[in-house]
Amino acid sequence: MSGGLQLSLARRLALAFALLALFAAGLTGYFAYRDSRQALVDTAKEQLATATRMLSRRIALTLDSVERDLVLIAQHPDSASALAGDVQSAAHAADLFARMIANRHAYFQIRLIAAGDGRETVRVDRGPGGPLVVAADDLQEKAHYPYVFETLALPRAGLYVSPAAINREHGAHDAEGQPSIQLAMQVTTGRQVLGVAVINLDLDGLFRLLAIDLPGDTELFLSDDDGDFLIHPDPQLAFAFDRGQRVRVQEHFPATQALFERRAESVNLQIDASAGIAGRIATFHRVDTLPAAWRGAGDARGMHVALGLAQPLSGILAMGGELASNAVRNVLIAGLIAVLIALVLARAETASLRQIEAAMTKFGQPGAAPLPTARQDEIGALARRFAAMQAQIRAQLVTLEAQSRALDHEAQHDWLTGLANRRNLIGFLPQALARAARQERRLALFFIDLDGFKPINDTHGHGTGDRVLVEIAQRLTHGVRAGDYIARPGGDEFVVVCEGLEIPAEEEHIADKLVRLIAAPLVIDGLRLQVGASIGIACYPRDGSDAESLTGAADRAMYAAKSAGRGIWCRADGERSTAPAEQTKAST
Amino acid sequence: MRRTVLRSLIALALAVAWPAAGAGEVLRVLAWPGYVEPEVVAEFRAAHGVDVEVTVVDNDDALLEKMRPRAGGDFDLVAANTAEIARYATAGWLRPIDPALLPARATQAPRFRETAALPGIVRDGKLYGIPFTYAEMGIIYDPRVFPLPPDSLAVLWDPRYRQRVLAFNGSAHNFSLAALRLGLATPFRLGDGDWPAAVDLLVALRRNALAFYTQPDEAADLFIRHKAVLMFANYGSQQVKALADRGIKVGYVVPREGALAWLDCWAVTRGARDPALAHAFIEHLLGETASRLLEERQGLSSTRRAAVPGARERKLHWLMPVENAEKRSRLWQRIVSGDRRDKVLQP
Repeated sequence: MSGGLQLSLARRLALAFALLALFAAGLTGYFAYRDSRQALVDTAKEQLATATRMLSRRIALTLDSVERDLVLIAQHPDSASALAGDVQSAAHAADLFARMIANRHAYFQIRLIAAGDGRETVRVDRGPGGPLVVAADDLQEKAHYPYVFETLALPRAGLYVSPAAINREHGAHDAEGQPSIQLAMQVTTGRQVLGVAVINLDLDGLFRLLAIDLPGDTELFLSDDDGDFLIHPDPQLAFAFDRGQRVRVQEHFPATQALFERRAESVNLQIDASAGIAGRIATFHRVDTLPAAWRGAGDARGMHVALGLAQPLSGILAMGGELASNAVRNVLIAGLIAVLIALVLARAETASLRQIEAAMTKFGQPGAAPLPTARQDEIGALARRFAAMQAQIRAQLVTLEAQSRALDHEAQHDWLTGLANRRNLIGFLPQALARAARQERRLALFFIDLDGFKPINDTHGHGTGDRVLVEIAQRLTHGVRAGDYIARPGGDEFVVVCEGLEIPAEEEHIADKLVRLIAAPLVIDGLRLQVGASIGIACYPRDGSDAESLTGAADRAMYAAKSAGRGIWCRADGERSTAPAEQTKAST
Repeated sequence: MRRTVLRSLIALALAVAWPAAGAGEVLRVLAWPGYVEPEVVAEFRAAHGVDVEVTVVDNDDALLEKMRPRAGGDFDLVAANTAEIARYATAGWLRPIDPALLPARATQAPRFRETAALPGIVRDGKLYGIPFTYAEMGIIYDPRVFPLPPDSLAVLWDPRYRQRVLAFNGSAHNFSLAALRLGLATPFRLGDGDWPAAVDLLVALRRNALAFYTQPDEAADLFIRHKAVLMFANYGSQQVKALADRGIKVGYVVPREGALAWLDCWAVTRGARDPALAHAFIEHLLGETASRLLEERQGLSSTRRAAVPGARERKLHWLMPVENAEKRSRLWQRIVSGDRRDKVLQP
């Protein structure tokens, strides 16, 4: 019970320590994970913002290079000659355009278009098999397209940039049905405007090419100046205006409104996962490029788009997954170590308690259990106090035992003579009888009553009487065999029990000896005194088999001896000694 | 196409449907954006104690999808153009309208009361549609250049106004326009022999036009910046208003060849739960509130008045399904891309 209590205390302590340690480790792990997770997201956000800025810059640079190409074409002598009708120059120009298209993957078309009837003079398209020089019959009239009439309406050397649109021009080869923008410039000679040079850009190709080194799960968004999606991971949402609908970036990502109100150049978003939509981070950046370009014959200048990159949080946090499993592993290891330490600690702490408990269990048994008295803490103090208490109680127990033994002796012995008293006799007799019965040996009980003692008591006082009794007791003690039992049940009566009688009538000889011993004269304080003895003899098994019957028989025999003349012994069956006085005298 | 674009834009600004509140009788209406404004519903509820549940669609295909499953039985009333009304009536999805239940028709312009002259809404002598709103595609002109309104469509081809004409980028309407110019019996049926002439006309129009616009805003912008003097008003008087809003005063005329026009009508479905109530709602829609909101908010013409002064005498060619929409589209794509006549007419 107490052991279980001790163990459960150890367990409880260990459990408490372990839980505390696990809690601490778990908490640390969680915060480490959370912080690193946020750090991952923050880093990813920063990287995404940087990537978006870089991409914006690249777009601007790429469009600058397109502008330079266009200027080169527009100012090339062959362009002017071709538009003026020179077939040789047209062939040269076509050759140049074909080479440019072969090298510039984002070019759909390069054309020279005459100012008058809007006829294409030189046209090279990107086709499935590479650059295609469009032949005479396939050349079309384009005067009614904005890139022609708007460009012709521009000031000299003005650059026109069209809005992004799905190219619906029939026969445009790769460009047909594709998102594109046109850049155009006038081709002039002196003061005469001969026509326009037009580069048709593959919008998707341009952006996909620029974004080619972005991580695989990055989503690319592009919107025009009004927010209408031009590129969207879901193609159904790009160029919705071409299908008579509007799907705008501000509606999907309201924070981007700031871009279109020109309150911000860049917007970072974190879209938390909601029903059916995966969480992601996104950056939208305003790209203002081709600052010199006109967007029509009005005042609008430059090309403005909003570029967005988004990354699913799951992808970013996938990196965090390893982090998380590391954190979990670390927490588990730390927890395990903590549990072990807790167990050891708890056992160490409770070992001292168990020592004290063992000492308590052994209390009162011989041999001292060790106690952790050397400890300098509360348990040490408890052990020291317990040791002191143990010593004190032991000392008291020794005293108590001695006292108990003395009391027991006193209870069983006559204080005057030191012989067994009546109580002792009552205890002794059944045991002696049992022994005799077991060994089938005879036992004799002698009931002795002093004759002539009362007169001594009355004449010389109780003190003298007492000394007589002590003297008689000593004589009896020395007179019987070692091992015979002597008691003084009361007053001037004595009982002697002799066990293991072997010789027939041996009891009678003993009785004779007892009579003689008692009858011998006494000298007490110079007084010569004498008492006699009347002895009743009862023998086991002859005169009784139990203590009561035997003592009764001895008692009756003693009275018979007394009434028969004193100084003699009488057997329970009536046989008695004779001439006691003589015998006594003769032996003295 | 034109209507799809316009209505899509409107649709974005509107709730898709506002459900009826409370129990009791509910009138189920299938309509286009802006046709049944909340004020109109509130007035009707106040007058009749009946709620109106409006389901909004923004194109003919969506309308058909809503009507088809239970032959229109999911609605009591439907708004559709004349061609669609004809289709639904033929399918047996509509119930004839009792003109006697619609005294407000007296406030409509005469051409909308003369239902026999309107295509598609009368079948076997029974009236299936009540005209509600319409637009005609007239010609916008600069009154400084034209002291008198141009009389004929031919003005669009007049080389004096080369690159000062704005036309619409739409295949069906442009071939219909060419058919009007050719003086065909109906602009919606080009005969086999009519195609080369129509293509010639449209190639010529291309050469004379500054540009082919698609959106009304784009048209207004081009008209102003490039100082155009003529414009085919695909969106009708709405474009006159748009230019006026930007401070440009223009004239608007229906030429003597007439003008293409679309007309939307209300019809009662075969499965209408309470035809009398459906009639009461049409009567309500012909009233002041609905007509005013239609003009103010949507820039659409109500049938209470003829939009173009003096146009009453001019013929309106109510839009009908064309003889071959795919062919018109294919040829127009070539024309607008700049192909020459022969290439356009290649098979």
